[in-house]
Amino acid sequence: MILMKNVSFKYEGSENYSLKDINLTLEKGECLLVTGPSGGGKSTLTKLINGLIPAYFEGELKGEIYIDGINISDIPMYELSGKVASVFQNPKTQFFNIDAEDEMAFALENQGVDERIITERLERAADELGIKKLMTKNIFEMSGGEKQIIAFAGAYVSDAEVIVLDEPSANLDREHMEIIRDIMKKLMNQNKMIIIAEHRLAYLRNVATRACYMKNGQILENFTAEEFYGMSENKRCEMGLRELSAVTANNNFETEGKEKTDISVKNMKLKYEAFNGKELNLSFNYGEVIGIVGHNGLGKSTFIRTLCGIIREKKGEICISGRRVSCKKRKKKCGMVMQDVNYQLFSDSVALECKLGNGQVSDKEIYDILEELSLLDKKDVHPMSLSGGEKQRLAIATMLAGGKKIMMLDEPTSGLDYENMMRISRLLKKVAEKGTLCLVVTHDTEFIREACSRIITI
Amino acid sequence: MKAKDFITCAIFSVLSMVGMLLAAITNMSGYTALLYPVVASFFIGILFVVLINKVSKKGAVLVFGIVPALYFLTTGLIEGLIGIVSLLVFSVFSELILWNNHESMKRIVSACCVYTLYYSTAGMAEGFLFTDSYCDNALKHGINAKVVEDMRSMYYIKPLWVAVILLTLLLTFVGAMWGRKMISKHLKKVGLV
Amino acid sequence: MKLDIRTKIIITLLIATCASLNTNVTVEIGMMIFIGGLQLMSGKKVFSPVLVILYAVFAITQYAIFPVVPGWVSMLLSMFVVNIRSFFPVVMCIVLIYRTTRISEVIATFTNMKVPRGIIITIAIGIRYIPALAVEMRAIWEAMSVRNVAEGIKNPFKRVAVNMECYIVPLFISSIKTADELSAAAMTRGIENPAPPTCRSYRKMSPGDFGLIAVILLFTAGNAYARYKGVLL
Repeated sequence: MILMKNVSFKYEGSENYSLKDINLTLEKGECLLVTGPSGGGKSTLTKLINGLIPAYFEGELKGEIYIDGINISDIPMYELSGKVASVFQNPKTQFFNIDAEDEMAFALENQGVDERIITERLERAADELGIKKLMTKNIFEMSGGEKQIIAFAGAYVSDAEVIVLDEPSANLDREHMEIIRDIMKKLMNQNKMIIIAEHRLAYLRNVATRACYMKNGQILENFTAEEFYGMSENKRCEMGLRELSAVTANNNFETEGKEKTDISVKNMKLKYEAFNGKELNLSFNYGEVIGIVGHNGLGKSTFIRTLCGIIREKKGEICISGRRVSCKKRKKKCGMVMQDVNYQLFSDSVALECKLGNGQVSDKEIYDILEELSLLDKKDVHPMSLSGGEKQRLAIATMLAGGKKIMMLDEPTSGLDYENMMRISRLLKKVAEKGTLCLVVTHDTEFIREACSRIITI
Repeated sequence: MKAKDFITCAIFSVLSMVGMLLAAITNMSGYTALLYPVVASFFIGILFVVLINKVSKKGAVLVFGIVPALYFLTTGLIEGLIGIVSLLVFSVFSELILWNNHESMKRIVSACCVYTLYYSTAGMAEGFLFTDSYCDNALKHGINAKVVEDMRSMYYIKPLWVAVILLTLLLTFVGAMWGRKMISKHLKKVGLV
Repeated sequence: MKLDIRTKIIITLLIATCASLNTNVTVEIGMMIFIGGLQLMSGKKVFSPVLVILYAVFAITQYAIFPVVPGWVSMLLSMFVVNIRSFFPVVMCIVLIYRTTRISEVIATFTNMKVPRGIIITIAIGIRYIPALAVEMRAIWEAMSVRNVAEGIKNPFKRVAVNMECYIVPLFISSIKTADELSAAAMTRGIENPAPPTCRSYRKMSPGDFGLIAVILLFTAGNAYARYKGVLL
């Protein structure tokens, strides 16, 4: 059993408490879904249970946390790691090893578990989870979804009593979300305790046994699974939560473009065997917000990077207003918000970030753009200190300042809560109304429903 | 030092290898080879200052040198071992300067200058102290005879070595100041150091 | 064929020594063939035909093209060609190590050799981070290529400084964040356990390993002797 008694925590250097007076119990076989708006304390809660607070993140901790009667502040973290397994949001930076099988065995090796037991557990996991082939790959050959499956498999193999999950589905498509949901069901059948901090809620229907809503560091409401998934649409929107049922993006969407074509792709073959070498023929128009959907690992990111001019096409042509446009010219006309937006923020303030490379744009114009994107009050803040949603909006602001008429966005709503996802949707619709083409690679069906006028399934 | 400190030092050590490989472009011509320690020390200066601000503990400098030390082994057994031992000596001196004070910028910059002295002293010693055998070896490997003779003439000018050392110290200082600026302009604001 | 990591490291050391001692192109080609053979025997994905082709290009440039082109071409390019060409055998060995060695193997073997845990973690992360760094640098380059960050700046030194800053800043921030996140994840997997880990991937050195080392040791000794005696130049 997990027991948290009057737990409060303040990060070092912070003025405010990130968690205030948390009281929580969790029994074997239960899966607690922790949800709420960004900044509410969900991740902090998970870090308390897996021991990262206070072992890694220093601060002021009050209250007590017990796992099976043991106060976790009385045991070192490496001992706690035998009882608690963790899966994090970012699959890229949670692997110590390069090979999948080695990563799955890593926690057990560190605990000094006998080699035969490790081998036995690996074989069992390969059979029970159906990942034998995946275990032979290295992480640089895997898609994000496959990496998360291996991370889950590592938790499965560890046989830890408690599994802590911090937004594990952030970058995943539906197929991979269903796979990790199945793994979670298997873990619950083994009587494990699962705590999952999540924004994406639909896939956890029939998995979560309880839910709690956190905001401003407090648990405001507790629910049973039936109460949570049965709540009214109004209440859900009021609480700022994502959809509770699976949303399909295919209904009532046009997939064909209009007759007039502003941008066309003709007989285009992409590098890196994207889309299995298929030739693409597509058309787009200014003023559209187009969702580009498809399974993880197919080549959607390669597609928009090619359109943007970052990668040269293997064959075929891309035409804007009827004229073939080279890679170099496409780079000038197009802007891109990358999957990891941190790589494209260079300056030390929001305003200067918009000014970078746009020297001819006046300060007033930049402030107007920032105001429109609700970033004006943060104009002097360092871009890297912004929240995920704010960074996305800043990247869009830099493109607006540069007068880009074609914008590509790669998974812009990954890890965003309901409010921020809606903000991005409204922003893109607004930008499109002014005559910009927005191409969005996304798995987020709620976002597609809100923002996209058309989807292309590749 | 804890596991997270070793991991941070390892990452910076890999970045220092990248800096050294970029600087190695100067080795592609006999006329610019003397600039290698100067260019390398600029990159190392930036990394060193940021690293010590992040991992303000004894041993960080020694661990920082591990990946470059492994690279030295690829230059040959004897040269590699000499390189590793020399780097170790300069790293130890650097650690001694920082010993109980990893906060003072003066100490960090001084320690950094001592660390990069390796590149301009031990790293250049073979050329300046054993000029003839070094240049004969280059000739035997097939480098153009005119280039080798010009290199020989350069290495005979011992004051040039002093100039290289001074330039290295200067560029280390410039790199360290850049690193310091990056910390105050970016890293501190983001809460990363 | 599965070589022990220690064998591969010793081979690399010895080949590096031979590369610095040897000045005979036939001997060097022999080394390339030998290492290429080791790569092929280690698995399909290990052998790198690109490296072999590049080596051929450099060797042909030095030995067939330089003697016939105007002297200034050789003056300009000889150091570049010679330095890179003579390093190829070592690069082939590094590729052999990189493509056939798992991090768990490195950890297990060095743990068995009683190497301090901190150094093992450093080396393991060093190996782990290299491909990740390549991905990060590529991503930053792509982001920079779409935004012309130095547009409007006329001073060439300022342009260089702005471009450099725009490369270095996201790289540093990303590296430090990677270090932080990797450390946190590793801690939740018990990396700080002072007790020695299970060395699941540890294998003893086989007679084949010792045999191979002995052969290359003899070869190195031969190179040293030839160099000392001034033969095979």
